[in-house]
Amino acid sequence: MKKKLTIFLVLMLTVSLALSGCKKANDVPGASNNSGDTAGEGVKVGLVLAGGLGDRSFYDSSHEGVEKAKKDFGIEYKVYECRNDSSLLNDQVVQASQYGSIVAVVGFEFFDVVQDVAKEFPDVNYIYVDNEIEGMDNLITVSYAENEGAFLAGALAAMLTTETSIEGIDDSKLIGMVGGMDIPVIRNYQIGFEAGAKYIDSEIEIQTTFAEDFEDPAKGKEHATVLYGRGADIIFQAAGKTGEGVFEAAAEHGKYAIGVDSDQRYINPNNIVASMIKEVGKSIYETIEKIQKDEVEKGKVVYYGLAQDGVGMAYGTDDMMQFATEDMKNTLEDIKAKIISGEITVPTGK
Amino acid sequence: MERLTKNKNLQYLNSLFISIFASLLIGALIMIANGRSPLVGYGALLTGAFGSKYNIATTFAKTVPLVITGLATAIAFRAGISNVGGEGQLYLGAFAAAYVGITFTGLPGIIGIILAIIAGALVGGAYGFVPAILKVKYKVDEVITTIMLNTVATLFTAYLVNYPFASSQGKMGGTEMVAEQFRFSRLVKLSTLNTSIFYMGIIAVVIYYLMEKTSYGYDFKIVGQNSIFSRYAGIKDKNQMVLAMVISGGLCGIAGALEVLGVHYRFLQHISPGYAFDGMLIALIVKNNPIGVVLMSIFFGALKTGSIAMENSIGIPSELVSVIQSIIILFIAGEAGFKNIYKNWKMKKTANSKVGEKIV
Repeated sequence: MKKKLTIFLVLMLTVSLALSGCKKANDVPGASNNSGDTAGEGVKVGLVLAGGLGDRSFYDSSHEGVEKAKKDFGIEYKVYECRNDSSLLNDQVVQASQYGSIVAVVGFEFFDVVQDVAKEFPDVNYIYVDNEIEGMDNLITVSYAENEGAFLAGALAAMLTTETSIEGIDDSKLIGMVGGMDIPVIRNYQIGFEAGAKYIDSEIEIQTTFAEDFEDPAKGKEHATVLYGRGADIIFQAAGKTGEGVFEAAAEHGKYAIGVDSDQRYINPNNIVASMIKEVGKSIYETIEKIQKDEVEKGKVVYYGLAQDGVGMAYGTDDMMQFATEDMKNTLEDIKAKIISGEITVPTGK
Repeated sequence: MERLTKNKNLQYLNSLFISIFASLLIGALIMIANGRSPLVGYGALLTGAFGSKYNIATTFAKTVPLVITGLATAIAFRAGISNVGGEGQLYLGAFAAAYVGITFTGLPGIIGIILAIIAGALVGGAYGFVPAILKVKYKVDEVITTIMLNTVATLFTAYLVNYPFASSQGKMGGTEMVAEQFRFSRLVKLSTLNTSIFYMGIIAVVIYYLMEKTSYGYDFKIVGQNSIFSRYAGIKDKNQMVLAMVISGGLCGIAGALEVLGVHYRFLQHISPGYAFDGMLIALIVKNNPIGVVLMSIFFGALKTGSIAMENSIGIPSELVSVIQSIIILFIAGEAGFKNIYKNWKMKKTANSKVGEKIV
């Protein structure tokens, strides 16, 4: 017993020693945040990601947005990654709020956390991407019409899947989609994709699987391999980093894929025919700009659809071989115009 | 006898501290290899974990689920049955608690909370009961079944929260929020530390008492050490194994329930970042000692909180801490081997020196 006591006391001593060396800087967070003025110079932006950088898709796009804002407006920024760890969501948003006067929060996972924390830091402006919350003065949410972009991707896939002149494509009318998770955001892609494909040819069959992960290329590869095995020629991925596995499977099977969120053709221009882009970076950039100029509508949801160029298609750079012909691109432009004018209504999964 | 076990414990503590120290040293070497100062790095880690009231609170918030899942694994391991399915039990328990919280909204706070926790424990326990029965009746290896059942539970709850129980506001893969009176209050502003830490304390004391001071605990230990001997001693070893597994599953369920009621106020599709696996590592490191579990959980909680702060403030990736944790486990797992090497070396040395004396 005595020994246990000794050990306990020693432990306590170590801890208290460790404590005594620390300063008490962070005790009153949020107090000194509002020092930066609206000129942009020296304004600090905290970028909080539910996942991590390096997905070459969703999160990297948001990073590009703040990077561009740094170049153009001279802001400073810092990235806070949660790596899909639900126990870190709160901590990282709090830390970002202590750092910056603008906090961009990226990921549907933050729905509760961002509302809780935004209440505690009334001087910090929050930009919350991928969800819809109204009525908080310091919180602007950005919502995307993924379904509209995915509609175009579906239309392109439907046009390509019978294009037997391309090597590896047969005349079966089966296309596939690998989603990250069976959640509303991803279902919004899915519904748009299916509607787009059916718009071109009502006999097209679409098979969708969910990898249940946004960070695991191995799972993406597994799911894509299954779909290619069933005879799909072209797969649309909406799965973040998991989607890299879809590209690998496409290369191995000599089949094709459509990228998501960023222009992903450069990853493998021979197998990725196009990408449906979701301009997360652009929307963050523009919102930061609006906050600087004090033009922002407080407590509102900002919508980014085809009309706002918030979603769309990208075909890589000109030196890459183009699978989508000019005809196809024109058809897609047509469809886009019809969606914007309201002639085509795209069903929504949200 | 008592002196012997104490001596053994002390030896073990020695090797534990050496392991921790050595792994921190290796962590420091990695930092140096990357051109970082380990002093600055570990300084940031310490300040991040204990630097302010908020940081300490965050550390303890991370500790709560680890303690409970750690104890859960410890009790099963001690009875000789491996519960690797804590994650699944946690998910189902958490969902059960959330279900109570969104369905029985008329209940007064304290009754509702107790009901929700009991629901979590029951569901978790029942989910632990299945592989335990398979093990003792049909000799199906419980490591495999529990691991597989994890996937079943996480995907099943993922279905539940996306379709029948999907939240109406916001898109997030979660249930509705539990009623106001079910929510534990936060203890420190901005951190997620909440009153569930008191429940954790009660649970830790109860489990300690059960494992160390009752005949149940003794039975578990005997069954775990030698189930055939325990049968001769008149202990129903199979019953004990099942009981230990059910308690273990129940604890994991409670861990999930406390996450729902204390932290998120709703069930989320990815409510646990692998708490049960971390808890299992902790139980392994401290050789299923309940007091050890609590202390080691605080250490792990501090490492996690500190590592994030370290990453944010000076840019040393928080993965470094995973490396450190893994090395601790490696050393602990190899403890017996290292000890033997050391013993042999010592014996050789003394033997050599004695031989040498004779020659001179």
